[in-house]
Amino acid sequence: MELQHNRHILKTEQLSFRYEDVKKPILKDVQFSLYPGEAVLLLGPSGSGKSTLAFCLNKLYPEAVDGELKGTISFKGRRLAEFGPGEINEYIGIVFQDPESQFCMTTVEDELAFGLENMKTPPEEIERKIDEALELVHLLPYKHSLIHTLSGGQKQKLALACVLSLKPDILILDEPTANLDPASSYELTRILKEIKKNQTISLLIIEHKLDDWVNLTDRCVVLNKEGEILFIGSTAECFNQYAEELLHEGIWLPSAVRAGLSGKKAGIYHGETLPLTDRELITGFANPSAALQILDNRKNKHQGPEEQIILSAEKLSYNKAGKDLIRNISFSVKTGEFVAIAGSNGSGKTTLSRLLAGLSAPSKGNILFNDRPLSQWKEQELRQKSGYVFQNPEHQFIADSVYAEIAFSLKIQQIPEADIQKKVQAALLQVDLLKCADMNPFSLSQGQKRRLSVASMLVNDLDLLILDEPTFGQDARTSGQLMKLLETKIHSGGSVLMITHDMEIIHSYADKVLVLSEGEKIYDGLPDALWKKDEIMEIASLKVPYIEKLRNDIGSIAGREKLALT
Amino acid sequence: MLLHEFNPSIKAFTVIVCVLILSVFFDPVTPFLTLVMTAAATFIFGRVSFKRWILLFSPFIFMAAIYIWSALVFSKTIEGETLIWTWGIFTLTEESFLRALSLGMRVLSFTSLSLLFILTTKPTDFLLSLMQQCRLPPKLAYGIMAGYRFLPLMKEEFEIIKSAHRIRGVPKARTFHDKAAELKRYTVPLLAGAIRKAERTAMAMESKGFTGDKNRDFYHKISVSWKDWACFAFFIGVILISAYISWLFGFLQFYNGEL
Repeated sequence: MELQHNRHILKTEQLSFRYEDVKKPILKDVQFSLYPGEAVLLLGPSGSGKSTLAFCLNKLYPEAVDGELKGTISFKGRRLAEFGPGEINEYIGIVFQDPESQFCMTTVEDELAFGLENMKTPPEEIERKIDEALELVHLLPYKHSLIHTLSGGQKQKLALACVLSLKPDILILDEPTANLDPASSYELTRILKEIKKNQTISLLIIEHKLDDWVNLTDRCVVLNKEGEILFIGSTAECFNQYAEELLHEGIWLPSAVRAGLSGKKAGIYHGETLPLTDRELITGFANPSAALQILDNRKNKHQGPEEQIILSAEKLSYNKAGKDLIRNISFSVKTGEFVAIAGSNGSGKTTLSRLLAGLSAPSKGNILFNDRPLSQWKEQELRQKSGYVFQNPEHQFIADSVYAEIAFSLKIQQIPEADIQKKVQAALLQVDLLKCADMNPFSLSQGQKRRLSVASMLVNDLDLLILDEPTFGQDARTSGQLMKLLETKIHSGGSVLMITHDMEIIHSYADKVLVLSEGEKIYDGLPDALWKKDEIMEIASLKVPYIEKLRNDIGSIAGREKLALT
Repeated sequence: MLLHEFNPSIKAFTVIVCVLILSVFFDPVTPFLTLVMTAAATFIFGRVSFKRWILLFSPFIFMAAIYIWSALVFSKTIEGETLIWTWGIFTLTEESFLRALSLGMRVLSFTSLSLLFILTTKPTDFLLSLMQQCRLPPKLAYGIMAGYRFLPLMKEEFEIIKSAHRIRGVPKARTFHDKAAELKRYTVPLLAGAIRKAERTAMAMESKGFTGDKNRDFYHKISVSWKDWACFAFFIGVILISAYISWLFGFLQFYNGEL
């Protein structure tokens, strides 16, 4: 039994992979093994080949792409190349990042049947297997639902069920929560934890936000920028030794590790190793409450010279196809204010932002921008004063080069060529894209695209910038750069309105937060006060930011000690 | 017995055969009677609401009207036909009027037959049936199904791109040249998105072990029974009865190179 446990189930030897039109290999001499029943976290900066590795492991590559694979991958001692088409997928399953493009059928039941049919499961057994898999991910009531009516979180659970129905030995998760709200991603990790407890299944996890995953993983594999293995070892050891390096590479660290690291730098964390859990972190502080003050990165409220209202919404309602998407919402944004909008998926955040940007007209109510009703603004004028950044940066690209992209709106305003050049150069420098000026916007990396989409807005002298979940699925570095850009905007007197699921951002940057639920405003005020309103947090499926959670933990530990003393 | 329950492939075959038979006749009465009976079958055995049906049917009424109009105005007059009306160069004979009317009725009867199929068949069932009864390769069938899922997504994406470009301050396209440029601007991101999505879906399908293998055991079996053939016979019967009634009243005429 012991012996069997120690036998690897998947092994790569000298694995290298190169895309056909690129000289440099994306993976270089990757060598690692996966053991039955363990969960391994695969970490690395963007572009380090994490997804490529995942696709090589279940034989999607090199078949689906023009590329060259060197070295060997073996599953239970048999080389992957020896498996027939589709054969390995029975043993190694994968859940992808995008919930929209993983399915080919219209209903939940049919989608599960599709995979089982591919595996030549006898038709009379299929129904039982479908029910089993749906039960595991708590989706059984949705068996006959149409897939496009499910929420993003439910779609990812369905994708998971599809894989689990085939009873694989290995499950690869390629950023499965990147597009989900905090509550849905938490639920997905809980389901996986349950599954891992009840079955012998090996997990290989690629993720950005690690907090929910850390206590589930046994080992970490870290890739560096060159696609080589930097480290293989236990999770604790990994973050202990490489925290700074990972941080430098732009990888998100688990919150406890990050807090421990900054605590160590400030000289207040005295633990021997960096903490993985909140408990370890707290015990490492001599004075936890004092440490909180130092760790709290909430920015000081930026006070504008005068409290001028730039945008105000009065009793906005919006209905479409008989549904009330927005109901009676009023609020205002002041000059130099950072306002966050939060709420679960489908609560009307995007619809509200579109109304505010003048992209659709409200059914009832008024929007005043610079003291003038939105409907009285000329389109051209409005676009020069109010900007909007879409969730997917690609949607906004209209020019053939990065330079032309930023110059576009300046050209419309008929600014002299020399001035345009100066302004564009400055903008490119600010977002660190000077080297890419001649490239096609579509060929940029994900982070670069995001920065470009924001830069093309900021080049106008905007009074208000609205952003729709701009930090979704971005690595730590891109996220940081983006927030820095927005900070500069605020300091120069602009206002920012941002839809986000990221509670850390709200805590650190927002002056005010609006919470929506089913088209209604259920909270409007300071973030600090929001964290204490349990009921609202629950309805809107929000989670408290890490520092707040830590404060609660410290409080309850202190309370218990007091109790023990008396 | 609902029309939804019949085998989709045989239903499609029935519609095709009906259209072929109908095109042999060239009088207005036969297609008109067929139209009435298929529409009635759609409402009674298909449980399709009249509102939904007429919504899809009305563009074809418009089309049929144009057909009739142009056939009337530009009809060639053949010697020995009964004149009804003349005005300048326009002449209208009874025969050409019937010809025009029969053309219009043809369009409408074909439409009602197609609607009967479309409104009572689930696309998924049709594709499954095509694979199971007509040996359509699974690669093609599942490809079409995945594509079908994309259509609403593409529409959504198009709307987003349109407003994204509005935000950038792109002026409204007025001239033809501007419109062409606008189309190009929309197409590139739309196609880039579609290709990326298609690639992802293809990978997801492969990762579930899809190889396009033709030997496939289906979970949802779409069967063929005598009822399906009875349905087939019923609709052929509808046309023959229409033709018979038309003959009784002396209208029946076969197509004889009139167009």
